[in-house]
Amino acid sequence: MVRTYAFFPSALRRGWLVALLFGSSQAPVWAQSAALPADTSRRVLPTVQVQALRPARYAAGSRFTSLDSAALAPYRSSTVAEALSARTPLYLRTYGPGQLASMSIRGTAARHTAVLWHGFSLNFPSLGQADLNLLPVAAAARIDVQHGPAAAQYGTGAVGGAVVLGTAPVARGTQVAGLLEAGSFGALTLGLTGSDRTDRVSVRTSFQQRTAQNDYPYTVREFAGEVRRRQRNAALSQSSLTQDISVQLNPRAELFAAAWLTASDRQIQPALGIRDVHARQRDQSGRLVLGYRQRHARGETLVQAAWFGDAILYASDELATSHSYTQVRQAQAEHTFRPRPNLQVRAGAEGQQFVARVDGYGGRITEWRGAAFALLRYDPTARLRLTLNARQAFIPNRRPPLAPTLGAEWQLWRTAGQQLWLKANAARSYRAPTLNDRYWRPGGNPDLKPELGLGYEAGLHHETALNAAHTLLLQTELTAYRLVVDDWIEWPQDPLTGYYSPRNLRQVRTQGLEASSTLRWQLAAYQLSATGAYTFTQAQKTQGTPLDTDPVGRQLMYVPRHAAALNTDHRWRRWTLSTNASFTGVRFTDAAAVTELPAYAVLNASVGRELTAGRWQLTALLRGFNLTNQEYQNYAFHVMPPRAWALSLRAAWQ
Amino acid sequence: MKNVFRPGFPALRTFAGLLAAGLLFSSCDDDKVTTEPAVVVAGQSVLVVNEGQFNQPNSAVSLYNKSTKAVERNLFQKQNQRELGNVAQSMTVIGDRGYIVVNADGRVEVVDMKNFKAVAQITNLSQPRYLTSTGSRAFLTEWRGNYPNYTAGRVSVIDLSTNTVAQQITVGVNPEQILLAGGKLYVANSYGNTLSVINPGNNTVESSVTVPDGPRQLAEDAAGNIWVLSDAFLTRFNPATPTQQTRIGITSDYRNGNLRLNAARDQVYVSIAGAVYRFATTATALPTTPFLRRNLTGLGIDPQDNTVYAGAGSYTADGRVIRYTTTGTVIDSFNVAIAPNSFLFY
Repeated sequence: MVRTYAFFPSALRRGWLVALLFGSSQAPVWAQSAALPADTSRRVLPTVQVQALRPARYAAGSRFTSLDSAALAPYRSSTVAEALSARTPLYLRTYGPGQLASMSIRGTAARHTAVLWHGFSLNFPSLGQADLNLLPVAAAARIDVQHGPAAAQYGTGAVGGAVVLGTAPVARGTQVAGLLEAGSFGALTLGLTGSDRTDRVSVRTSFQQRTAQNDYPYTVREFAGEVRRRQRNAALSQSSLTQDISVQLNPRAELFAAAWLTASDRQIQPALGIRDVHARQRDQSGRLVLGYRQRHARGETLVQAAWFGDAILYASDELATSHSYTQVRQAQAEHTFRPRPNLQVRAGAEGQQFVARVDGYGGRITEWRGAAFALLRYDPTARLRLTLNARQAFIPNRRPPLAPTLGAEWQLWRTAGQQLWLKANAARSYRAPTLNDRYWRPGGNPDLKPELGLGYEAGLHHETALNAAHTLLLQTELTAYRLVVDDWIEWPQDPLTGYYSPRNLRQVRTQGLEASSTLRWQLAAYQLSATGAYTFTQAQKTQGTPLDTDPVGRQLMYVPRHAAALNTDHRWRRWTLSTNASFTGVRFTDAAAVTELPAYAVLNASVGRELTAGRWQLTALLRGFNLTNQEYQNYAFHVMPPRAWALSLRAAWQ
Repeated sequence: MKNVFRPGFPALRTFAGLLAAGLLFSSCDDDKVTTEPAVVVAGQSVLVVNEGQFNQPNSAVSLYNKSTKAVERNLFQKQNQRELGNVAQSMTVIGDRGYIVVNADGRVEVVDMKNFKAVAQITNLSQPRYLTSTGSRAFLTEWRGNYPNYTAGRVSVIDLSTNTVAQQITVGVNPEQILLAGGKLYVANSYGNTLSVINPGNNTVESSVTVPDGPRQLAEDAAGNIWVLSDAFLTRFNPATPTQQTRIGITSDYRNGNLRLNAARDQVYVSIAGAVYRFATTATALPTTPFLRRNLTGLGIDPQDNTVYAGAGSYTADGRVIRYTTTGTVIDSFNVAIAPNSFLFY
């Protein structure tokens, strides 16, 4: 994600590119039901209320990591990045608490993760990646991470995987809730939600504002010796407002609109020991979706139009304010048809217009892109599920090849208390060059080819009831994958001019294992859910052009070989206890795998208590972060917070 | 060491390394430093300045011993147990002290050349670039303003007995190299087309020399002529007649260019547009065939034997130094830290 530019000859200026250009309880994979794999369980939701794309339906054989509302409950006041890094072994790279956070799945880069909301990509069109610390958990009812290439479903960028932010149906009647949380190092969060649903209309509003000083202490060796300092220039203020409206025009037709506004003003945390140049970044995003859904006897039609606008302003003592304004005007239409109960077909098309006014482009640019897709789900028997998807994208200059997916799940055997599924999936994905890749001056390269990903995976899914009463259930899933990304884009220096310019530079191969196991136990008033998850990731450059000076056969920078998470969620009467431990293995900080960052484990926990008074429900939650007080760095030279606490109070009325 | 970035050696290797360096047996007691052998062996040492990654403190000075061929990747970090800082731009030796200019941190680290331990810091500088000396005083170029709104830069006069800034002299925008020649200081104002000429006697700019756009690097040859590397020209002039200039056209290249002279100071080396050219100081045009076809981040000529040291690499991995004979034949190579930009022969 780091780009370099050549304003002038020194590393300092080169680095501005960097600033400007890039500037779970692993919840069970089959989250809601121990008995049924993914999309079956989700099918129980009435279609008309499922506003977000449920990712599993057309993804047989794919692996998911899902955080449902229960898993997200202790993280209501956190960001998507914080929740995912605390509860899953997925690797998120962050420059500090609340700072830029990006996720790479299966050893790919941050720009190979597509982040979606209402079926539209939230990745900045300029950078090609999303900042998951700008997205509050409060705006999503669930988070589903689909591992592996899935461009057929999600379009560009879903090469390593996709993060789908889901919304939940609005409950009948009127509900309001308020949340206030105060924590260490000046953390303060205020949240308000309200919703109302009648037979015809449902409305939901959610607002969150959070601030933090992040002035936590750390130790550093300076000229005078070891000294204790407080983190400088890391304060932030972020707010988010979501508004959903849905109108049932008749029993078969629904009109809906969704808006999501986020604003963030962050000081940029300097690296350990370097001079503070008072860098500051302001991000503002507006996202509007308008949709119409018509149900038919055997299917439905969905038409959506959306406008997404992003502003990124960056400035420091060394750099006058840099402006980036981008907007995407887009429309999607899709028709889902179910000719037989076990066969479902979805076909659709989308168009996008990008408009960008970015200082580095030297003017306003516009660009059109389009795509057509078809998704097919066929269950020949109750024990076999098949999906076949394909997407053809159209982008200027270079057309990406067809991106197909073929997936299957087969129930190998089943007894009264056990079932074992075999899963397999193969897919081709693509990532269109970003606007920076194409238009940055100097260096932008309009002739870049899209990056291509080819991945395949196979795995087992096992479920068993460990007792006759089916109150002790165990699910285990094991996946092995291989993924090859070709025409991987980097920004090497042109030897003749010295300018940095993106090129289709190399081929990268990643392969690994993903294992997870979830235990659910219910004993009288006590409920336990425990999940352990582990990933092994090997990611290497396998080939490169002569311009590519990085060595082959070394583990890529910032891809941990080993990562794990262990979560327990307990509930007893009106008490809740949640523990989230995550382990991140050694990561190399250079392309030759010479320097490494030490591994670390972080333990978070929360204790909650609910009280009911009439129609009011009060929840008090004490949250502890980094309870072992580990001094660690996620990104080199960026100190993470020591042990910290937060106390939150939530009042809900219904 | 807490919180300090830990270089990636398994503990065993670290132990072995300490053993080899004899450090396990030398006490941590500073009183005993007299028994410590010199880390930087005079006459045998090549110090390689590595810029490191942007906005990271991992710039480094690597040490290469010409007789043992041993490399210490990050000498400053090893001897001081802390990182050097954000972008090491240049290093200059004055007497038995080394002055490492850490650009983005606005700081100069002063080290004892025997053991490379920091003895002082000059701080609160503004984007410092290059340093030269007249003996008891050092002159340091600094940029001011921010991208792209740079303002007139300055030369800070540093009292070397106290390592403090005694006076500041305003020069042109974004001053790069500074050269002492014929008793005058020449400053290359890279956002413009002039050299400022400073009289070090009274610390004032007494004149300026107009040169082609973008002057950055300076050198004085054996005949006393001054060489200037600009964006698209190499310029030579006699300080007595600065307006009479010989200009040699080169491929326009915004990079540093690594203008260097051989030991006798009668041959020029320059690294432009992916190649290194070498020619006599009397030349009036660039040779048609380059000395080396290689894209370099740094270039150095050993004044003992004219061995050519070429630094190459990206900013994502450790760089490599390739040594060449005067005929351009590869001798050998070794790895250093990220982005080697210059060599200092000590």
